[in-house]
Amino acid sequence: MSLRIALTKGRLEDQTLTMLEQAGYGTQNVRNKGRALVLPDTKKDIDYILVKSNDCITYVEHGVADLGVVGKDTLMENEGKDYFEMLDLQMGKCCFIVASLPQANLFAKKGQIRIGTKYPHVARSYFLSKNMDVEIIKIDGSVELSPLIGLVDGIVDIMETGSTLKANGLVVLDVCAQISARVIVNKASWKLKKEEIIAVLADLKKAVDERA
Amino acid sequence: MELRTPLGNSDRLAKEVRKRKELCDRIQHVFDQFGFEEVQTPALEYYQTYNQAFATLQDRKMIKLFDENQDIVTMRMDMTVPIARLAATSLKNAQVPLRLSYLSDVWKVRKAFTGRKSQTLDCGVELIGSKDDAQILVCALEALEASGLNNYKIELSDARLLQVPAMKCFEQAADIARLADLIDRKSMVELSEFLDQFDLDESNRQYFLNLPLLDGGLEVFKQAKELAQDEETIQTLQDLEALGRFLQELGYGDYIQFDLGKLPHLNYYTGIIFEAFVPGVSGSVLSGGRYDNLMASFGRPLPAIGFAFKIDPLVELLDTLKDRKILVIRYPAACAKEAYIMAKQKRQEEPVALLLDDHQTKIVVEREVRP
Repeated sequence: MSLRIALTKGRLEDQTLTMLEQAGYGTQNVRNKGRALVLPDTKKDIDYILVKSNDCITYVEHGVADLGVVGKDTLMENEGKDYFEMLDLQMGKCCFIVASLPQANLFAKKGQIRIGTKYPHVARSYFLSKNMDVEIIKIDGSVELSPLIGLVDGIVDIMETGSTLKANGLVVLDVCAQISARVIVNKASWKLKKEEIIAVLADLKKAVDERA
Repeated sequence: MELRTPLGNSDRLAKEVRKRKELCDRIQHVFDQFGFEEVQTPALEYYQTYNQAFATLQDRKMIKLFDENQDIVTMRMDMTVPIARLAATSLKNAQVPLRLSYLSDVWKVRKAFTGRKSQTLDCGVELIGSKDDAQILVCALEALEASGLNNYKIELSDARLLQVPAMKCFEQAADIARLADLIDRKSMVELSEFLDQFDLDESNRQYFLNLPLLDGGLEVFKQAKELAQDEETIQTLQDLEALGRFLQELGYGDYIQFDLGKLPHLNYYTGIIFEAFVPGVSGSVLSGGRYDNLMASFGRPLPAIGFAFKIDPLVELLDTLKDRKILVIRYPAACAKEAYIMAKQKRQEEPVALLLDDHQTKIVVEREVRP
């Protein structure tokens, strides 16, 4: 039975394709996709779809994609977890951090604090685990701006290099979680196409181990 | 004015309703043949009833209302709890084993924009007062066959395979819940990180780490028994293996498999648990298991086992229905009596609809196809 794999566009796209190529998969159609949306592998019986990270989970949960490659950040932010998370690809590494202006004194403040973030669920569960009462404000772009102009006391965001934070005078107060790209599998597909899925996971695991 | 159905709900049109009936008839026929009797319970149950049934109730998934005494009432979220309540009260004096079946809508709160339905139809059976697992599995396998599916698998496990070793190795209920969640989601990366936080024997660590990967045919039991650390778990594995072999001898070998890392999503399960999968449906189309403590929490201690089909995803797979033809009799008012008599006669053979049509001067009969 053929497989359909959902790949996440953007930050992880190129690294995922490179890893698939290293594992012996034919990704030319994805590299030169033009306007096509369903992209067949040139070597194996696999179709790729290239989607936004949240959609990757949706397509896998509904079983229209058997596997998905998606960042742990997106998996953590999504509350429903109706899939198997089977492999860490050890790439696209970054982390969730709490940051603020140095004078904000975030963890010592009395009363409720305000946190700006693109990841309200991640932020909420982090501060719940710290027994802190926070008001979360959802920000869609350039979260670093929100404490600078006084909307919030601090932020929860993804940090890759830390250069944007530093350039704006923000300091990292804590690391909430480490993030990397993961392979997720639809539960029913795992039961019904197990051999094919295990073959893909084994190929990718081998590529991960070769890099380590 | 805004006319719409509430979140996660939709109307069911004629063709879908016919497909549902057809599918449910096929399944219920098997239940009848196995000696089950259909019962119905109210759509509403007291919240307290559910709270009594579950150690940790997922109460955010329940639709709740208040009655006139300000007691919390819920739309029933499953059928096992209402049937168990019924068995403990209305059928308190009935002789066991009770063989009860149902075809009922259940309700859960669904998140917006996820494509999931709030109201779904469950069709299932409960065998109360019996320790026999095999006959229920045979009933499930026969009902799957009768439903017209050509490629399905029932996957078996046992709730005790995690519960018993976890209780021995972990003290905190929260840690056991976290462990169960990671194994259930086959979240291999985090499972390994989680186990590293505890001072476990390497042999125990290996058991938990391998549990999610112990799936396949009867061959999984060899490795599982090597990994198991206590007598009780080895016994559970032997019993499950014996059940698997028995079903194989009966000729169901191609339709069963095992996933020992499967965990009960409802925490009243105490023994064997199982789910069925078919291509084209994400998630299971049938699920069930043994719940030997639930009846006791309702004051009538009895072992019990049951399962339910999820009808909604299966209906979409049922393409075999023929289009329905209806005989339409158009008649002018003057010919009403003649038309009604003709309709009564024709109804012996086929469905007939009457249509008053004063543009006609006499009765006109035509066949309409309803796809």
